[in-house]
Order: sequence, then structure tokens, then C-alpha cells
Amino acid sequence: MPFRKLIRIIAGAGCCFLSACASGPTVQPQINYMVVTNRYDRALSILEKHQKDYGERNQLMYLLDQGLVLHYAGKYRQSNEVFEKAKKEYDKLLTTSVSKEALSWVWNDYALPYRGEDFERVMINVFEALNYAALEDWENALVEARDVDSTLRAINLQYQPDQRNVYKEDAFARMLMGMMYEASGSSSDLDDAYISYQKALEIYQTKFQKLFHVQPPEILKENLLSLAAVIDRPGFRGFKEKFPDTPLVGFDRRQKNAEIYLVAYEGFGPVKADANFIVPVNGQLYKFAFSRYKERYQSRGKKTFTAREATAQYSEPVELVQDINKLAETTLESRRLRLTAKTLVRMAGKGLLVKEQTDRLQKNYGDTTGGVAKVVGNLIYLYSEQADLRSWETLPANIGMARLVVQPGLYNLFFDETEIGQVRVKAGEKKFVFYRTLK
Amino acid sequence: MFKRTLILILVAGLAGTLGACSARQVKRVDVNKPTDLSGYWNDTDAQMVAEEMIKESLSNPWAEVFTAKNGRKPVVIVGPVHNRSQEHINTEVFTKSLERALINSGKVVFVAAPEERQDIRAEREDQQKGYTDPATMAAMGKELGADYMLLGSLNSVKDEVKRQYTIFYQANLELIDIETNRKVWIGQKEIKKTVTIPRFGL
Repeated sequence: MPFRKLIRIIAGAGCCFLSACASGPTVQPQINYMVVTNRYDRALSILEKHQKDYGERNQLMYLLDQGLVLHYAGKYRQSNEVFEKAKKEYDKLLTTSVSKEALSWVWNDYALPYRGEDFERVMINVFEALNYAALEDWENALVEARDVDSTLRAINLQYQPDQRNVYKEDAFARMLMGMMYEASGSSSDLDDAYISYQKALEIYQTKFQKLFHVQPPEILKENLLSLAAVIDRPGFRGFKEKFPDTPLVGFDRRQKNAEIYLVAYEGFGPVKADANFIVPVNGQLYKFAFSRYKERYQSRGKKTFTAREATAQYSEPVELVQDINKLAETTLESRRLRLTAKTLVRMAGKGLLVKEQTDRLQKNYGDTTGGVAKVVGNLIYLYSEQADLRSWETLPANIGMARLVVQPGLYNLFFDETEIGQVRVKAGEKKFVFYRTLK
Repeated sequence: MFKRTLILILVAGLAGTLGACSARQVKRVDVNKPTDLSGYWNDTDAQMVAEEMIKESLSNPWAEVFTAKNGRKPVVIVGPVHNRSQEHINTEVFTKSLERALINSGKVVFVAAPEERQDIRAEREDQQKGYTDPATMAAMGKELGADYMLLGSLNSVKDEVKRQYTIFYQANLELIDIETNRKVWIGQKEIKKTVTIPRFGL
């Protein structure tokens, strides 16, 4: 009997200690609201004030949120410092903690550190590259291009070549890195740009179109054509046939003029929600704890990016280049089988333990004690059995891009009719501007 | 049996989590001791590159040949050393070591690099404004022209699967005659590492 009492005391103490292991931080909606109302400093101070709420197990999530909010706020260098820490934290978490893993099999997945999804690791490179592009530091932007290349290769190698419906390549990242290589300008970098664009096209046309319903963007086709015209004439003829409606935006013309690239972050990314259900079996309740993604944003209509100066106006439609809603859902679905197996084992084990212990108490100490024990035991069980609802919630729902080739000058920029900023561009310059929107 | 095992796992999990709590430890180590913690480019790599470049540049007679021909030491300016790897690496760490070793050898004169020149020129211009004693003012138009420029690149090739990778770095430095574009010296250092990230830990 003393042994059983001891176990109950330990379990009870454990439950109090682990009460933190039943949820993640809850401050992201506040931060998102501050960001879309352009109150970046407020968003950052809320984030920093609540760092403790993230906890030791969610450090990666904290760094991802902080890095992204710094990027939205235009603090590009600080954002990169944080994202570099995030890369190292991600690598550290590749080692599974045996003790935390063991705990997650008997408690819930909140005992595990938040490890980030594969596509989130790729987004770190994407945001860092965009930070360097904003600073026109092409040398460091290319460091990100090379890093994402080997990251995607490593992700790809985890799967069989014929395995579909999994995230193992990223068309948007490839296209963006092609733009970085082009911006850098040396002849070997142009070769790398061409290879990146071709890979991006292939991935858009095969996986991204099928899985995420994202078409190959016109910007990609235009850049591919204009580069092929300069470095691969036979390839150029092939692309011209494949895309008869895509205009040839001459490479020389792009170099002699200036380019303004808009990267639009639209909406709020998806959040995970409970999809639990409880079944009674033989007088004992069993809880299946699942999660699913809930979309928070649906794109509404075509948008336009315009640059206006005294005597000229340039305008292009904003194209969807990355659908984070669908990326996240696909990633969760591809892990569904493994998650289900673990949930079933944990659910059965906990349910049986509660049933056996409370039955014994009832037998030895009578109905009242047994009844109370059953209620308390089941409360603890139902509370502890939670699906992991953590994700990178400060991500946008999707990313759009537009590109204008303009004469050098000073321009006012508009997203539809909203003025979003002003830029001065010189010949040969490539300027990246960003806009966070809910429209 | 089953529930006893479950409880043991629960206790082990708790113990493991608590065991992770400990005070931060700091230990001072010798600057020359290799400390490879993460597998990324680190100070040991930068020092290895610097040492090799110093050795090669001092053993090559390019400086003596110039001095014998022109009766003075060669003047060198440090140009960009491009980072073409996939990590953000500060290439100044080894160019500064090389600069120091060459100056201290007494065979070479270095002039300020473009980024450094801006601050010096600003100071010189400020001295002309009338606040500085004319006897102590630095004269304009007396910058020493460089004979050679030191340029270079750091490249890397990475072969990676999840939790394991091999990375190969190649650092190249070249000394180029500014007048004729002739390369008088090329130094190279290669470093290769294999990193394995353990599948399980405590």
C-alpha cells in the first residue's frame, strides 16, 4: 500500500509541475494585431515581455516569431541575428531528448520541444534572404541561397523519389534565390540564377500546382525567358514555345532600368485547432486528441502594385507565389499516421491506468472513495490528453509578388489604392519592398 | 507490469527534465586550443586559414623581388575577400591576421582599405577646417598609392543528409599587381569536416 500511495503522490506532484505542459504561448494573436496595424514597436515589446510564457520548450518558436516581427518592422539586421539563432536552435533540436520523448508518451506532446516543420526551416532562409535583399547585401543573400539549396536537398533525401503529397521542395524559395543570384550579377551567378529558375518552374508545374494550387508566376516565366535569351538560346526557343503569351522583358532593358519587387504578406497563417473526441468503453472514458489546421484568411480578388511619379506610372498584378495555408495542412497530413499511432497508444495506456487504479481503490476503500478517485483520475487524464496546437502563428496566410521595370527616378508606391511608401531607384538597381496586409 | 512500466517512464521523464537544470559554466581556454562545438565555421578554422596564408606569403619571395627592383617595400591594400560559402563568415578575421604578420615581418607596407579610408579622409578634411594647429595638420593629397591588392574568396561545398553532413571549405587569397593585373602570389587553405548530430540525447 505505501508504494501505491507514493505513486499517487508523485503523479499528483508531477501533474502540478507539468501543468505548463498542456499549452503553448497565447500571445501571438495580440502580436499579429499590432503588426497589421503597423504598431511594430508595440508588437516587439509585447513579444519580449512574454518571452517567459513561451517557456524553455518553445524557444525556437519565440525566435521565429521575433525574427519575423523584426522583418515586418523593417529592422533587417536585427531580424537576421535572431534568425541565425533560430537556425542553430533548429539544429540543436534535431537531437531527440530521450527523457522528453518518454514523457510525451505518457503525458502529451507539449512535453516535447517545438521543433518546427521542414517548410518553416526553409522560411528562415527565405526571410533572411529578403532581409539581405532589402539591405542590397547580395553577397550575404547568396549565402542564404546556398544554405537553402543544401537544406532542401537534405529534406528531399528523407523521402522516396516517388513519394508524393509531402513537402520536399520549395518553388518559391528556388525562384527567390534565382532573383538573388541575378541581382548579384557575376556571370557564374547568372548560371546559378538560370538553374534556380528552371528548378522553380519544374516544382511549380508539378508539385505546387497539384498540391497547393499555386501556378507558376508570370515573373518567373519572364525572368527565365529574359535570362535564356542571353545565356541559353536553344533553351530560350523551347521556353518561348511553352509560354507564347509571356513577353520578353529584355535582360539589357532590366539592367539599364531599375526593378522594384513587391513582396506582399497577406492575411494570417493557419492555426491548429482541437479535433478531439471522447468515447466511453467499459465504464471508462477514452479521449482521442487530434489537431487540424484552421484557415484564418481567404484571398479576396486580384491586387495591383503601382509605382507613380510625375510623368509616368507602372502597374502589374500581384501574383500568388506561396500558399502557406496549404503548405501547413499538407505537412500536418503527411505526419497524420504517425501522430495517430502515438495518440492511440498513449490514450489506451492512460485510460487503462486510470481504470485499474480507481477500480482497485473502489474495491479496497468503498464506493465513495472509489467514486471520487474516478472523477479526479479522469479529470487529470482528460486534461493531460491534449493535441499539440503549437505552430509559427505570425506567418502570413500567403505571399504575393509583383515586379515593375521602371526608369530611374523617385516613385510613390501603391498596393491597390493604398500608398505604401516611396523609393528612389538608380539604373541597374533592384529594390525589394514589403507590405503586410489583411486585404 | 504495464502500469508499473508507465509509472517508471513518467518518473524517468520528470527526473530527466529536472536534471537539465544546472548553473551556467564558464571555462577560459587557450586561444590556440581547437574548440569545435557545433560544426559551423569557427575561430579554429579562421586561425588555420590565417596561419597557412601567413606561412605561404612569407616564404614566397614576391616582396623581396619588388624591393630589389624598386628600392622600397611594396605597398599593399586589402580588398574584398568574398564569402561564397553557405554560412555568414567574417573574412576579416583571417585578413587582419595576415596583415599583422606581414607588417610585423618588415617586408611589406599596408595602406588602409576602402572602408577604413572613409573615416581617415573625414578626419583629414576636418583638420583643414581651421580648428587644428597648422603646424600639426595632416597635408591633403599625400595618400600612398598601393602597388598590390589582396583579393580573395571563401568557398564551401556541403554534402548533407538529416543529422549528418560533410563540409569542405576552400579559402583563396591572391596578390595582384594594380598596374599590370599580374598575380604575384596565390595562397590556398582547405578544411574538411564531418559533423554528426546525435539522434538521441538526455
